[in-house]
Amino acid sequence: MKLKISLLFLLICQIGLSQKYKLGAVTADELKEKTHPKDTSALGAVLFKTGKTTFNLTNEGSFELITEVFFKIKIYKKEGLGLADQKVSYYTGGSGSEKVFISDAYTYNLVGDKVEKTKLKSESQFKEEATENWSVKKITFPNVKEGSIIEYSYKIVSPYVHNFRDWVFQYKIPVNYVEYQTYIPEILKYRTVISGFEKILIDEKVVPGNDFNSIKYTYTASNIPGQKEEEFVKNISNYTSILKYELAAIEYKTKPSKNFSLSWADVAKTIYDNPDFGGQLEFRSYYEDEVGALINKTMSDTEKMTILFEFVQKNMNWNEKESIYCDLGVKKAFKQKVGNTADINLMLVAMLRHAGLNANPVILSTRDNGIPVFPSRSAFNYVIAAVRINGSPNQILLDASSKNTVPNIIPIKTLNWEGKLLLPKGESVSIYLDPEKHSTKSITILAKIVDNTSIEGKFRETADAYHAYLAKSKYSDLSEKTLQENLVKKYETIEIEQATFKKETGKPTQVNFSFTSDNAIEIIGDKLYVSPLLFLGMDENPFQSETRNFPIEFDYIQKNNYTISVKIPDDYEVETFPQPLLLQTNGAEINYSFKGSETNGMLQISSSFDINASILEAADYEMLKSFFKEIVNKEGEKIVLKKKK
Amino acid sequence: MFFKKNIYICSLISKTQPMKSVFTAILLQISFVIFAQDSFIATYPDSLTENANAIVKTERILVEIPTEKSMRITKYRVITVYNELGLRNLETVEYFDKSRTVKSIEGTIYNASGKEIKRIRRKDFTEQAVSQGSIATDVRVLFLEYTPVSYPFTMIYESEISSSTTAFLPTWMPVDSYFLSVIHSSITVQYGENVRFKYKEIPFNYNLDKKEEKGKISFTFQNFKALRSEEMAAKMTTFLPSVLFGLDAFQYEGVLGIAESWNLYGKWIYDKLLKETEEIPVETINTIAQLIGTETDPMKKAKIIYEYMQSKTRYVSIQLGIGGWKPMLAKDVDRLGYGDCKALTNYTRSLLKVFNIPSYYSLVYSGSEKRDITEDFVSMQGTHAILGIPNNQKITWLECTSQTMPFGFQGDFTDDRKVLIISENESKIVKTASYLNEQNLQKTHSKVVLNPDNSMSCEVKIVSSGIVYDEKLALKTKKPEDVKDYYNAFFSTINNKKFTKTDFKDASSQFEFTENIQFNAEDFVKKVQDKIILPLNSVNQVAFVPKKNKDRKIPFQIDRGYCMEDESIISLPSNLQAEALPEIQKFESEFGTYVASVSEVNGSLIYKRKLVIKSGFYEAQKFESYRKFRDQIARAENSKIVVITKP
Repeated sequence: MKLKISLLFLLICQIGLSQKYKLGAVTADELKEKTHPKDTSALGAVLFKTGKTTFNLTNEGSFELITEVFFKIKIYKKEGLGLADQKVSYYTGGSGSEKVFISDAYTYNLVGDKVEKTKLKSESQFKEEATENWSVKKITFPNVKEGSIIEYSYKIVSPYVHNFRDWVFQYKIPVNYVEYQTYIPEILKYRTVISGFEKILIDEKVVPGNDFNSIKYTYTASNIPGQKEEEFVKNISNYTSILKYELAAIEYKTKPSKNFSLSWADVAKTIYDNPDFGGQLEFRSYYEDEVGALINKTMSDTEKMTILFEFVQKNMNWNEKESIYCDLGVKKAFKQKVGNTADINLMLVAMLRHAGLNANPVILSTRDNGIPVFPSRSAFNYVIAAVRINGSPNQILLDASSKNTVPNIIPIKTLNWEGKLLLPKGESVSIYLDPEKHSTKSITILAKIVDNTSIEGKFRETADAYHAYLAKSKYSDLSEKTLQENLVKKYETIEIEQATFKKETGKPTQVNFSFTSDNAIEIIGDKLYVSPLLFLGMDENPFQSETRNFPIEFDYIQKNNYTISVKIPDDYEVETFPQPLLLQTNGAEINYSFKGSETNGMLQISSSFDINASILEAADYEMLKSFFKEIVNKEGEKIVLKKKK
Repeated sequence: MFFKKNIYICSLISKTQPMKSVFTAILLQISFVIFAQDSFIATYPDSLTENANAIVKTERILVEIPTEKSMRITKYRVITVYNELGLRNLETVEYFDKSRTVKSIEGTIYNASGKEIKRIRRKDFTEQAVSQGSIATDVRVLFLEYTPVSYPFTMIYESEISSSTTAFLPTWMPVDSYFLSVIHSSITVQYGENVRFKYKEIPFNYNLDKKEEKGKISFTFQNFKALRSEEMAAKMTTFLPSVLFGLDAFQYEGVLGIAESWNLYGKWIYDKLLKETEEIPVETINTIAQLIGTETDPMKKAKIIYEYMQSKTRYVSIQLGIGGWKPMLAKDVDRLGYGDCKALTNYTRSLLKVFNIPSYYSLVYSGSEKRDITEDFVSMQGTHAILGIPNNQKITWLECTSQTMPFGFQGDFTDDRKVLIISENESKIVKTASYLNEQNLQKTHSKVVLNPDNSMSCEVKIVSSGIVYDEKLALKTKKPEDVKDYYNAFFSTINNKKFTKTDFKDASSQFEFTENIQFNAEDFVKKVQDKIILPLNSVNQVAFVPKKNKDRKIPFQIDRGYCMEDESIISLPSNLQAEALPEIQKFESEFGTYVASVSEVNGSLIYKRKLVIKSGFYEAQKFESYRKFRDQIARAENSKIVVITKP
């Protein structure tokens, strides 16, 4: 009996709910609402977003994907009026084009106590051919004010069953309710994954059909907060609640199944089999002459690797396009000396193999592209090369598309969790991209106090690994004047002369300059107050926010050392010196040290700052914040010099 | 410390990108003969390569205007690029639309030793819709994405444009970039007998070679050594050459127009673009009449109407066809509740007109960098529209694209510059309101309490007016967490702040913004051997000092000037006192004035400071004295005293 009641109740509820999430049912109360009940600062809110994706069998016997989306959006504040401009992009290149239909677009306002409805007419719809392959439909809602509600729906018809659109649950504004249904034909196998921290409910059932049976999946979520930007996050969309569908296979009833991506092995094989990927590794005639002249049998594998890497790096120029597939093809790219990442790095893999090395491509997703969440061809947008030398267990990673990389230093944008090493037989191995070794930077300053009012000295910074990569990216090939200007911008409070930047193969990079600092020393009364780290002190906590939602991510693990010697005037001596400080976060993710002393009229200060983990939990935020607070406090202390008696 | 806002980007004329470089077929052949042997080898004297990311070796632009209804622009440009930064000087881009066609566009690349390495055809250019946040536009663009294989390289770029619109002739600016040397740049304009052609050289310090004959004029500019960009640089047009070209009678998208005088030109705009757009629906008139009630003062009525418009509409960017210059119908704005700058300005004008308040639709170059409509050169100028209401002898200006700007406040987007006011019979150039020096006042009053545990508590009240008011308005639209970030950065000299209050109030009728902030900060000072070092101005330290530049070349500019008046009452724990008080600091220069003093009253320290920075345009050689002045100020701002235990 109890059960029956609850069932009945449920039924009623469902009817109630489905009414609530239909377009065209805007109430005066909704229009009267001044702020979002859960987030009073929200500019607007998605009151609901519902939709479904179904499949239709066309007359030609192929599937067509139909996605319908219904939006109801409330605008609370003037700054949220931009929400009344909406757009839908669609693909128009390729063999079949996508089509977009926007309908049911209305603006609702409260006039007196009545709900006023304004239709969006064709005059407020615009179509734009943004590029050769993509078009955009844009709509601008009429009569929109603070408090308005807008509603619209759109339908996308697409012939691309392998290009299932992502379903987004979370936006910058709060979302009150989301419901999404997919009707997947039995013969199509998709993999799905949901990213983010929000709770998404999933329901599944079989729906018989005329042409084919389908499985219906229903995804629902309520009260998803607006997503806010935070510092020290590689790519915030990694944490956004999004549902992704990836075509895994088509299981035909009458012929053998076609696999797309079920496992990493499948992914690897499909990618490898693509003529713009694996096929490109087979060509050799285009480079044989030049490569043959570069290497010989007496060379070690390491030598061969270095020579070929540098040859491709120097010879090829990256056209700023990222892809796992070749654009021009290796032959044409080699001839034109220009190519995308695949053109350049697959060419490198081919040459390395030709020289007898154990080289393979590694596909990966850059930071901007997000973290690949499940085996899928579309998750990757970048390819590099990997070499294993003399049976060593370690792969050496190579990216010849940048002029600033060296073996095992790949661009920062590619340091994004893990990539997949693709072996010729279609096997694949996960490979961590984050560096295991610390990048080291050492700054040495030798200086003296001049006229009690300024500090003059020489600065030297040596850097290796990623510190060097960044230094090269910033300082390579600059004129002395421009280098000096850049350094002045970086260090702000000093004057700089004789600036030089050195980079030599196999050696750390070096920045040298002479400086004058008026800010590192102050006269108060008859005493001198010297900032122990001169112009290098951390004067502001990088973590200012009071709360933190996402993990804290650093670019790479690193060690930074500062050694500073300052000659003090003969007629002065040290009155006080800041106490030494040793700090370590709870999990030893970050270490800090500071110490100093005086000997024979020389101040000697040394400090170090090491990051040993590239990611910290959001829960560690408070600890991290107070850790940096201590550093800022320490480096704000002064060495006090008094006149000798 | 000032933040910049970025609102109402409204471009009337995205098509008027400065055009550079042209040629006829005949001239082209000649040039090939001349340059055939050695011309594309990238060797230049050091004087030209120094500071240069690129060198324009030859640039020739030919503008042919046989009648006022058609125009052909041919460009020929040889440029050597030395590094990645120089790629932006390639200028391989052309815009087009219904009345403007790209007839041809192509190029050739040569390596450093002058060997041809690549031919670039039209199909190598990418075509795209021009869409910068706009809802709609029908302007498209062709541009080249070229990946160099080595530096330096030389590119020949050639293009031919034909246009039935002659309202926008290219502006010639042979040097339009820093780090760019120019060996030879020329422009020739050939015009038919009945074409009423005119030009204007913008005053400058370089010698332009000018040749003029019947139906033809050319300018040549040669051997210019690249300039480095410099801090606080004045606008390029104040020290680099440019020439404006135009027609007294022109065609704009099929409509004939007149630009003989501002009055005639304004009448043309009024008659062709504004007159037929004014109709306002009766319901709206009735609604406004109710709002106005018995009010009779025209400016108070105008305020009610402006605020009605602000609450009813929002700004979107639409540029379709003649929509580039013609506003949407007022009744459409009324019905749809949106429009671009022209539409919203014209809608407001039409509303005011219904209630017998005259106002001027006005064209302006918008942006925080001030730019005048060139008064003695009548042509289609301006990038934005605002509304002026005559108010006794003055004009009250309204920004109609903002939902939040108070009635009659202009802000730094359109202030202090010459604009064209348009009316049926008396269109003319007038200057908008200015905000200068002491008018831009930020008054800060703070109470700083130093606690025995070396922490501090602070109460700050800031009252802002003038352009500072404009900058503070942005606070109103920030989210709470962004407001905290703003104040964290604003009080950056104090670490470990915890805010307990961040309130602000906009007294929009007085254009005055008041902030009330309270916070505490741990470890505000450090005790060293019973002594405390206490900063005197921790709340609002002005630390800006320009960088030293021994051979400054470019004049510099302080756009608006400002004034900061601060009073800070610092209370010490009862057992502490200042060891000694510093003397008054006072200095003055042509750039402004500075006074700071501290006194002791009833055991509290009272710090007072007034800083005035004056607006002005200064020659390069004065830069060092300005730098020294700011350095002096920064040092004074950083003053500290020693606090000791009372004996």
